[in-house]
Amino acid sequence: MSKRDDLLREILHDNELMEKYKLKEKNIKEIRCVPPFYDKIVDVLATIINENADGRSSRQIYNTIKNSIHKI
Amino acid sequence: MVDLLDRSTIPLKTASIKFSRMASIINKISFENFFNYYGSFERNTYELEEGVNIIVADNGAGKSKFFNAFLWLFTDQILDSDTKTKLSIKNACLKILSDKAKVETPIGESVNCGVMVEYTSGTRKKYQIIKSFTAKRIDEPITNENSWQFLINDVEVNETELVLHRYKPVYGEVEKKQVIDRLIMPVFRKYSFLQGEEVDEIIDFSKKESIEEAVENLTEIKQYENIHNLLKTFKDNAFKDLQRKRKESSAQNDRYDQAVDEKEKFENFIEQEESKLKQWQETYESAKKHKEELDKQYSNAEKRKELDDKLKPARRKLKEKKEEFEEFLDRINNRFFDGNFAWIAMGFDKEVAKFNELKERFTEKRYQKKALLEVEKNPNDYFHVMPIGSPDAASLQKMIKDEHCYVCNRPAAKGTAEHEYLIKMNERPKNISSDINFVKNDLNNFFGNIQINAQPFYTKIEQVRDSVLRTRQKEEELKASIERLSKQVKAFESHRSAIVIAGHDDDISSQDIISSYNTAVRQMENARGKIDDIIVPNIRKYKSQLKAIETELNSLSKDNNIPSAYQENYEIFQDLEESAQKAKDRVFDEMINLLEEHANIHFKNLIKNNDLAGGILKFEKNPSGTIDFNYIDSKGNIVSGSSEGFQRMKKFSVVMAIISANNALYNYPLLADAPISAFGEGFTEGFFDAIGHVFPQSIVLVKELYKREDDMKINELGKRLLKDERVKSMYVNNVPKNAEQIELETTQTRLK
Repeated sequence: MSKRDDLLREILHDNELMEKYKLKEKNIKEIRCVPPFYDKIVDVLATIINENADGRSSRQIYNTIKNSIHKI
Repeated sequence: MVDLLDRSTIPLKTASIKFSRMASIINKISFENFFNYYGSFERNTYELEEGVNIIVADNGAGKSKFFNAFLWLFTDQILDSDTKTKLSIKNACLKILSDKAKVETPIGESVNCGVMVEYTSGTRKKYQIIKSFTAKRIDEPITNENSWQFLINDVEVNETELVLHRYKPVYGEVEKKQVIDRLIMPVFRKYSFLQGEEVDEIIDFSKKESIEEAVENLTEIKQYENIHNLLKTFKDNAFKDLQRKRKESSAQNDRYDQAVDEKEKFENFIEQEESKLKQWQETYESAKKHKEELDKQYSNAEKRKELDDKLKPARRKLKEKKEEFEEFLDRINNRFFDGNFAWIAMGFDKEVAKFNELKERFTEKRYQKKALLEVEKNPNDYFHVMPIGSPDAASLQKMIKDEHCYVCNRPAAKGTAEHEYLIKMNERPKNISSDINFVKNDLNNFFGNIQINAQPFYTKIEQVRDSVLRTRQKEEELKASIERLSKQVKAFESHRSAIVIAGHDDDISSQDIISSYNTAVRQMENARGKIDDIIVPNIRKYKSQLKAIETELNSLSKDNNIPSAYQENYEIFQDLEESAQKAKDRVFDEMINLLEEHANIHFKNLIKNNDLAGGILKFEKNPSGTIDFNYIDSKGNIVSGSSEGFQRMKKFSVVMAIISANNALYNYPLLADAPISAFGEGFTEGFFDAIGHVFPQSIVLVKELYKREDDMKINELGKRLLKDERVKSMYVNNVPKNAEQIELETTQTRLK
């Protein structure tokens, strides 16, 4: 289990968030920072974690999320 | 909240780490002419093992020097024990080089000084690190910097496979540094390589960064912070994008505009409150720090006063006792001649009878001698050869006239003794009544007076021995009292000066301290009130209102025909930002709880040989965000003002907790100089037990186990530890007693 995966799971492991985005406990346990992603919110957070770890700037990361995930 | 008192059921092994097969284990350390370690590496070698290794040494027998070797290894510095400052090795060569080696090096010759460490890393590799310098003597005075030329040699690093025996050199500077760092990673050196008092600095809970740094080292909290900050930025960006898109769509919605204004208003409120919170947290933290400093001073002032109260009567008593002793010594002389004691008569028991006998004999003899002398001088005064009336008076007168003795028919010319004798004979009848005594016996008075004067003495002779013994006893008592009082006074004075040095507060009056202390407490309470009662509730209220507005905005956005992706983009960041904030707090709190749990387990282990019972260590967040760290007794009261040893023990528990709470296996040895200097024996035993559970290898330098009078030079606790299977090696350092500095040489005896 990588540190990136830990970070992803810990942030998503929030009752309100899980309820709103219909994330199940067992899904959280299986979630990883590599595609395919279970949900858009996982995709967004995994992208931030990965891109940040790879040294990308915040502007680059934000644009990636807008363009690649939200297509806006 | 779980009652920590129930945690005694947690098995100790939960706080012990499983030692990694990758751990660094120091196998050997050697010294060459390094301080008192005179001679070659071979002569000054300590073989060490996995587990607990103890080096026992009295003061000046090489403990700190041993520690300094690692300081040289890691930082190219040594700790100057005189100034308590770290010196660069370049400026410390003269100090480091053994004095004995200096003396033995002839002018023009060179001598080496260095340290060598060998360690294994994991199950495959073994490393050797040598740091050294060469000193060439160029002049006579050995302690003069100008008498030497020093050349720092390149650090030598060698490596080998464990199955091989031959080292191969490591050439690259980066690789060499990696080998040194692998022994104890720099980030962990503060927990693994320390001197006794440094523990106080490592875990200073009044400093926010102290515990945060520990949590940072143990968790990925920095990563959570980074991600949270990014999410905050992205949320703002997403909201701006959403706003822009709404304007572009030129949809009209008054309520939306109003909600946006309200959102900004609440965001400003929160910002203002958070700014106030920051200020009040700083005020609280600074007041707390001030209070803690004053706490120490106040406690010092209290202790000082307490000691002064004890010191004053103790000094007075000592002075009185000394005066009494002086008087006593003066009186001793008098006792020889004072009839009440009559010490001078001691041993004269038989002398009275002897005196009487001699007196008798003397009187008699004197009488006889004097009588004979008198008689010899004037025999005619006492003896008469011719009977009285013979010769008759007429014949005598004729003989006088004729100047001739007809009795013996000898001439008796006028003026001669014979003629005088004739005259005396003639006058005999007239003088007969005035006969002279042979000797007048006038000694009775003389000897009588002596006897009268001596009487008080000889009547006391029998009691003198007892009197002297009693006096001796009194003298011993007085000396013992003086010694006891002197020690007491000295102990008070030394304790007092230690307090003064530690507190630097000798010139500050107790009143000033109390006044400042009260001010600091008031400031803390004021800040706490502002934070807890006003600012935090305000922030909570504004955040709740902000959230409501944001929810409304989300809903209004949907009605505004803005592309849903913009709305979704904003909403996802909004949710993630909140949950990242919570995750960050959760990770921090969980780590604090874990540290608390581990610290309590170690603490129980450390104090198990002491009488302390029932208490726990408690970590609590205070309004400034720092952690309050207290010992709570079984009734829930905070215990303060405990001994330095106890305080250090608490902090050691936290240091060990930081290591054992670490998810990763701890791979580094503990190197500690005098860690137990402030501990009692119970703590010391607990300490050696506890470190065995936490560190794969411990090398502990102590003097508390040293006992000079013992054949093995260790005390009873040392002997118990010697039998402990966790203790793998034990050395005792020896230095020759009363040796001159230039003769000083540390040798070592391996006991185990």
